[in-house]
Amino acid sequence: MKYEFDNERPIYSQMADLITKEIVSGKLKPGQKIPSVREYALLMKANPNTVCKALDLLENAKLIYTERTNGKFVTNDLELINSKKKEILSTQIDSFMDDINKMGISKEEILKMLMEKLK
Amino acid sequence: MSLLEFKNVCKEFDHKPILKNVSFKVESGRIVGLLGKNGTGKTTIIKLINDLLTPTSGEVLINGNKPGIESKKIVAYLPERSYLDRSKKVSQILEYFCDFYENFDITKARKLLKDLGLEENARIAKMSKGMIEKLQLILVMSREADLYVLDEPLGGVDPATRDYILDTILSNFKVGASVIISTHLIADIERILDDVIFVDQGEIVLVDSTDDLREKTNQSIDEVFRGMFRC
Amino acid sequence: MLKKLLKYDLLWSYKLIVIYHLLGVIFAVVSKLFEALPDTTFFIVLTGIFKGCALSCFIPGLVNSIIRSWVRLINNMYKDESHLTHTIPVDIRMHYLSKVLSGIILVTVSTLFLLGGVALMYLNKNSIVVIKEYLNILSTTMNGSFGVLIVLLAVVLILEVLLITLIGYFGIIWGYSFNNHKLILSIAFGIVFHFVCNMFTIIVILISGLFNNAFYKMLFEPNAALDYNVILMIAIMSIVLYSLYTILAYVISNVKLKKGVNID
Repeated sequence: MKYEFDNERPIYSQMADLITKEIVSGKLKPGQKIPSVREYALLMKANPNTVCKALDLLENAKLIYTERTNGKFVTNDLELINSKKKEILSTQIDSFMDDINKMGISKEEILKMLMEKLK
Repeated sequence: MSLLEFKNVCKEFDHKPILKNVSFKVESGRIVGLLGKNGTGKTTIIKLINDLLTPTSGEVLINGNKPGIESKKIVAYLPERSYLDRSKKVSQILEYFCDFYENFDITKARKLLKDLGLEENARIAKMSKGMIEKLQLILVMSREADLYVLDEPLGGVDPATRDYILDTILSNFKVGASVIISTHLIADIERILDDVIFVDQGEIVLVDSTDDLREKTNQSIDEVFRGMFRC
Repeated sequence: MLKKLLKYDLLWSYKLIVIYHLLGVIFAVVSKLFEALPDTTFFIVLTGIFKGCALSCFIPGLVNSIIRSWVRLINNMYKDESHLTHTIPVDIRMHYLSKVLSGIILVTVSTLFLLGGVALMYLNKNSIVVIKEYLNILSTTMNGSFGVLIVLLAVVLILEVLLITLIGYFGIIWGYSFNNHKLILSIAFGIVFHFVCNMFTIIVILISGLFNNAFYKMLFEPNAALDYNVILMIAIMSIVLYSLYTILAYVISNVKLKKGVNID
């Protein structure tokens, strides 16, 4: 996976979002060890400080935890991961709905299209 | 005590002010962009850090001391020009760095040179300008310094080289050290910066963290810069 | 630290000068070999040619030693390379001391090669006998040992070239502390220093003349005979004064360097 950032938003929050997505999508499994700060910095071609800040954000959200000497791991709390997933889904749908509402498309039309897309 | 501090520094050449009352601090563990158009005083600031110039008034302090032997032990400086003796071979340059810098990691330098495909018995005089620039970067980044000062490391290089340079900087600077990078090519480099210092006409016009600046303006640093210095 | 600096300074300068010395020695030895051959016109001419070649290696060798020491100072402390020189953790006065010592070593070695070469080529059984006789006459007429004088004069010669080298350094260090016209100012500072030294020497000699009768006679009376003691005194005075100027040039440069450099 290639990590790309845009320069308009703080890089650390974009980085935290990307790692969150990897966790909820299962790419990083519960209890799995995640790369170190240095490794992430190289992987993402980013400043280690930025990586630290992003990981702090995730740690505060309890999505990852630190084992003193071993490094950082993805949480084993499946409920938390699921709720995070729902949160992301809900924000995505919110922004989707915002756009759609502006165009005045009816609920029935949206549902129909969505059902077709999801088939 | 800050790693680097400028206190009301003024520098004049022939009674013409080049730096006017410059004050700023750099703490440990930060990557700082020294940003400004060409000829605004970036290089003068860098030379003052490295004892190549002395301030007309004010003070430059590195770990609380004026530039001198102690500061030179912990500052790794990459100039924008080629500063190697052209009659020497790469191996002799490595020896020179070993002789004079206690914190020079020759094993790391050799590995980086090998990765780059540069022979140690190559003569500097026969190397291309781009190759010399990369060699100098390797020499500087192979030091375990507390402060890396890089003057225009990206000036006039192609995108592939630019990636090589940024990678080399990011993957080799000592953990906990600070890096000061001067450049006018902001878009290429802003994503790795913690803080920015904007310099214009010999004055510091803005000091801020990149995250705060982005959050405040919803713009990239490059856009903020262009907005401030529209010609 | 000084040892490491000296290694680099000497290597850089001597790399080129060694060619002059090697060729000079080869020519001198070859001329000596031809001299051993029968005295035919052909061999005499050939010997002369080789002696000339040897001299035209030793003399430029000495001149180039001085110039190369100056160039080393400019390149290493003020041109592009200075960005490395001044950012290694070494006191600037240590850098300068290394330049001074390497200059002194180089110039002394080159002078000794010149003197040695001349001695090798022009001293043989015949000339030694002639010179000895001549010296004996001089010594008896002048009432003193001429051998001592020759050694003193050799020392004066070495001090003279050392002084020139150091004055060059002095000029460069002051000239390059300015923002513009660095090289021209360097030469100007050097010439002014040299001029001041010479004026001082003349004043010292004149004043000594006032207090010493023999000295006064030799200086101001027409057709005065050479007085051994006066010549000895002048030689010793030169040694003292040249040493003084050399040290002065070194000290003043150091004071300037202590205030920092001005690299553009």
